[in-house]
Amino acid sequence: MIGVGAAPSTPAARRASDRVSGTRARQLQLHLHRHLHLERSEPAANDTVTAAPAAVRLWFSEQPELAVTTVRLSATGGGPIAVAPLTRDAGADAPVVAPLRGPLAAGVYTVWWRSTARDGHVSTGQFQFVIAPPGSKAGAK
Amino acid sequence: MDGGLSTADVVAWLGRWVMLAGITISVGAVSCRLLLGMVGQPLEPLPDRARRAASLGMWASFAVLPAALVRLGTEVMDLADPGQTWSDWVHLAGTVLSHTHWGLVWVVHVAIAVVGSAAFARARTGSHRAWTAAGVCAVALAATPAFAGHAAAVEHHRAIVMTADVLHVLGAGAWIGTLCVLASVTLWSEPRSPGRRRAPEEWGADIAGLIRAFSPVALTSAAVMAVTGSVAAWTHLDRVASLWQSGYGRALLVKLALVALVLAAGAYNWQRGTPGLTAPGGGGVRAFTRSVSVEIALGMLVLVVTAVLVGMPMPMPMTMPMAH
Repeated sequence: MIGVGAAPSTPAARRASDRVSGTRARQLQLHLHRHLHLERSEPAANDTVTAAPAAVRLWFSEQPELAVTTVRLSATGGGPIAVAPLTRDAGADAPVVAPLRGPLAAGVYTVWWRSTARDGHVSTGQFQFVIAPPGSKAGAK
Repeated sequence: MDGGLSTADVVAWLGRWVMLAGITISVGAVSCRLLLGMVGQPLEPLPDRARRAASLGMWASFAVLPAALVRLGTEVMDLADPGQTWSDWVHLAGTVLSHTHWGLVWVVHVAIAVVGSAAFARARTGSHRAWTAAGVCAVALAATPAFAGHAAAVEHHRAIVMTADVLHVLGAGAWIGTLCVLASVTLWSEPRSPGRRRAPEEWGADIAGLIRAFSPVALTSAAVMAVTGSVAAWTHLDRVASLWQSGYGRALLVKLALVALVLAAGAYNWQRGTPGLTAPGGGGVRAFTRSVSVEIALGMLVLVVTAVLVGMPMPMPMTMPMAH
């Protein structure tokens, strides 16, 4: 399943969104979640890159159920970005790949994802990355 | 739970509780039937107690079906986007059932419940084959939560954790389920059964014989549950402090406290209640009925907490990197 859109607005998504708002929520999260969760991504959360990625790659803590996994990308101050059908190689550590349909311009982007693992528990999350304008210095924040 | 308690959360808990209660009582119905045979109750013609146990097993297995529908509904709700139509939901449900591990287990779970209900219904006529089929279905039904729960998603020693999970559910069925069915087919129903009125002392001695046969089953089940519960806690809790620092740990503490109360009630019924069953005048049976009812009610409360627990996220190791 693929999707494009901006705001997470399902009950699960809203709860997840609430969780990520504010430092306290992020600290509490250390104690509260060990269902499927995002371990790392390319581009990484809060990273600044100079080259626009051709795809967003997500590594999860468990093998996600690709058929019901959703990845959405949106530009801050802009609309949703089209994402091609998700793919994932067979390996246990293979990432979910969300190919982008076109090149991304410089700006701040939000990736929102929703997935589930073998236990059926639905997890959601979001993170941001920045594509720096050409000629500027890039680096992690 | 973070994010506040929603109606969907409560409905999901209710669905899981009905499922767990249905499985527990299904296992208990089969275990009760075996106990009735062990204490020398005639197998042919099938006595009323065995028929009532089969009826309870049938309704318990049947109750798993609406509970399964509720669980599927809440799963689809969590995966659906707002504004989707019913046809979108149906399509999503189809995707979940046909393309996910959880959905495959759900289909098997429902199929076993249907066959189990039919087997218990047939067992009411006294068919030994039907009782065997019902027993196989009850055990299979008890195994399904392990294939679609926390145990199925652990990263290491999955086979051990899943085996422990199956034994844990079977232990609950053999203990609380059997006691529930035993009480239903004797203490709660026979005082109202026409043609079943006997001298209280004789009836009390009859029930005492059943309870004496049940006691080793309860003790063994309690031991199995303690060991398998420890395995689950060791797997799901990254450190001891998570017991009071995480929601999952605190719910587990509540469950352990309730289990301790069930153990205390069981010990009282075994050591104090059973000897009093043969007291003159039938007062011992009435007191035993009350104390057994308390033990069963506490056991059902344990299932309520378990229904909450299995839907909760487990504590995350402190070294785990944050996703957000």
